[in-house]
Amino acid sequence: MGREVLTSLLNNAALLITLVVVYSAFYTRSIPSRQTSWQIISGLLLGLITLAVMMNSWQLSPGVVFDTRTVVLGLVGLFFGFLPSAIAASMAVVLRLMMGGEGALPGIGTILSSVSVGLFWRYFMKKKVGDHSLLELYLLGVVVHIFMLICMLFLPQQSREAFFSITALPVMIIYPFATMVIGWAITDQIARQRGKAAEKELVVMSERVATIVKTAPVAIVTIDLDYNVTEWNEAAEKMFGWKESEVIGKPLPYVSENQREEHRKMNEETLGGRPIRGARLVRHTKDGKEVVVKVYNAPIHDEEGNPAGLFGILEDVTEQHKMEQALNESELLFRQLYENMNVGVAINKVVNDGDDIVFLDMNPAGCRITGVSREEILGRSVRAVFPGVTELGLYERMLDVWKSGYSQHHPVREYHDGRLTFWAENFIYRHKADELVVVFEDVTQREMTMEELESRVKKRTEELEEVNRELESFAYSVSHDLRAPLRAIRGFSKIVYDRYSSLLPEEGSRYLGFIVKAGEDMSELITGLLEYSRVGKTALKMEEVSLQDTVSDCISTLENMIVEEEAEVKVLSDLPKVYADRSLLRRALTNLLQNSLTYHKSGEHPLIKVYSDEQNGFVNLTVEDNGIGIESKFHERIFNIFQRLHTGDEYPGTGIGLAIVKKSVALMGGDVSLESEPGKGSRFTIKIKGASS
Amino acid sequence: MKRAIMLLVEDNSMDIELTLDSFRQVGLTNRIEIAKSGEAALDYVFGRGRFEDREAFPLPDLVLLDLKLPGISGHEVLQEMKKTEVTKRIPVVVLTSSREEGDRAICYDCGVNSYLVKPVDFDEFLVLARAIGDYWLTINVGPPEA
Repeated sequence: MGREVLTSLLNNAALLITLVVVYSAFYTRSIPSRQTSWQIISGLLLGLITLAVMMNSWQLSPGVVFDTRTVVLGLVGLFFGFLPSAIAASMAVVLRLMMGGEGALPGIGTILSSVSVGLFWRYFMKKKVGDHSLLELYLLGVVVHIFMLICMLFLPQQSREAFFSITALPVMIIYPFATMVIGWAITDQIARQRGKAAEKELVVMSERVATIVKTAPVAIVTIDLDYNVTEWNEAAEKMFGWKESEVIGKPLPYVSENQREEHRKMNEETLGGRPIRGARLVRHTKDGKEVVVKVYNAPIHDEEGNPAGLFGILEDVTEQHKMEQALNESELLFRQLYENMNVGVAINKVVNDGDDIVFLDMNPAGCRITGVSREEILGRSVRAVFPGVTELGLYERMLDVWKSGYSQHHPVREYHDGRLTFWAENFIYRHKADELVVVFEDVTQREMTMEELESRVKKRTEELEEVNRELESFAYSVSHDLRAPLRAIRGFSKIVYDRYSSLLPEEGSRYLGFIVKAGEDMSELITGLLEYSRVGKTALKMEEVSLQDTVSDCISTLENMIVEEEAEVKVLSDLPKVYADRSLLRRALTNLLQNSLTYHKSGEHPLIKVYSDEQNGFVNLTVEDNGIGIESKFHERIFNIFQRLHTGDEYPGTGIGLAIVKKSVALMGGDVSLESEPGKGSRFTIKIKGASS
Repeated sequence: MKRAIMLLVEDNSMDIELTLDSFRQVGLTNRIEIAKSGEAALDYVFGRGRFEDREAFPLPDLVLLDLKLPGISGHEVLQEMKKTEVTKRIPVVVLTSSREEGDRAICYDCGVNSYLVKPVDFDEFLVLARAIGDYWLTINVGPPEA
């Protein structure tokens, strides 16, 4: 071999080494080597190397050149994959075609065969890229160059002979070896990169794990095979109260003495391949409080895969546990209520979009009231079990509640011959979108009693009203019929007195005077009685009445009496409007004023004040006088009919006036009261509804 | 013009006496016929029974009618008179003790010409008697002769 050949070989070798550089540049960094753009760029670079190799060829005979393209392309196929290989091979093919000569076709063949073998190796040996032994790389070199030898068979005879006699052997010795060396260099590069990456990753990972363990909201604890603590995170400190320094190297503090055995068994199970997954256990804190924890654990192994300890994750579920317990208790409470209450409850489900309603459940009281057993109705249609629900309107109501979501009250009554035979109160509400609850109570007994009572009360009231009417009409007729004889007594006694008293002896004339006077008194009594019994005989006509006008009317009616008594009547304030019966009000007021005008101290002129105030919608109208006053023991009695405190000689009167006042005011829904002391005048107050109320 | 004749329908003889006495006192001297029951009153106005003779018992120009009568009541008398052709124009003045609404309603429904309540006081009675004489026998112009 000449010097030229040696130079070419050295150049080739150098170029081959650039492959390693390209590989490490493109494929071992954290560059996304799978991106098409990178593959194209690396393909072009590899193509350029291939071209450079081909440019540095040596000529065996004219048109027959040799270089290390087979080594380059075989390795490209193996290490770089399809796209870069295809680009590099295409560029080589184009160059070879341009170079021409008789070795062109076999040359192209070697290009294609080499790259194909490399790719075949990559994709069909199913090995991880870069994970190749030296022998394997050497074998690749051999196979690539066997194909090259095959291609060389197609050289023109002269060149072929020259090749096989001079070049074949050194090529077959050197080229596979070169392939192996360069391939090994790349593999080594890959391995180094991988090692570095793995190391880095390990550091990152363990840091991450440490952070997670440290900051996890759950307690993470590891123990060795003697069950002594090896790790104890912050959450564990917080959850149980022991600091990490207090527990490392010691048995788990939260497992109490009597739990040790159970704990040991549990750990053995875990080490035996049955880890705990969410068991609830009771542990305790440093200050003795109980903590309910949810536990997950798993065994830890050393590098050789031997058990080295256990780690556990503990979640504090004390609050949750308490809540669940409370929930269970309240569930129990309501269940018992439901079972024991005396009110029926039926839970129903609306099915087929309102086509039917079926029973989901009924409590014992419900079964008792309706006379069914729970088993026979569950899941059955409400209408099938109780055909009456449609007729009673209950079914319709249930559908209404289901549609509207508004609760309803639906009493169901049955009567036979006008007598109540059944009455149930039903309350329906929607529980869930398709569930209805009917709460029902059989109140037949209660309602029957009520109806009975009501009808009795009604009857009694009617009887009383009848008696009352009779009494009133009796009083009226009596006082009426009394008038006829009275008229005769008065009329004739008067005639006799007028015409014949001079004929009578003094005593007879005096007695006749008594008869006349008694007649007058009696006639006054009867008039009062008639007036009293007439109060309330006409229908009450409540309306807005001006108190001011009414008082003025009454005063002018009594004008004669006021003048006669030389009295003064003062209306002190503007009187409001009230809600009253005009004539009753007038009657009451007239009587009060009349009293005040009558019962004055002898020698004193009556001074009467009328005023009012308003309170809670009521008007208090007061008639105050400077009269003789009334002893407090008579304050109640004074309003009774015929009750008098004075003889007719002292003060005229019948004892009916105040009874009329009281009756009139009571009929209008009011009240009359009295404040008085003997010698200090009287204050009568009528309390009556204001016009606005 | 002939003197007006009154028919006093009243069962209580004391009241009759009082009424007659008071008319006399106020100077009313007209002829007054007495019927002591509802039946008698109807017999008189319709000229029946012992009142058959219209010459002796002519139709009255004014009837003073009490309501509370034994047997046929004053209301019925009034009703009969007011629906009978011969008697319906005769002025009827009810003279009663009753102030009751029911009584008043029936009387006015039947077409009573006046409703007076007898006072218990005799002096007041005299006032009433004078008023009847003044108004019904003097001022008031009666129906045309049948």
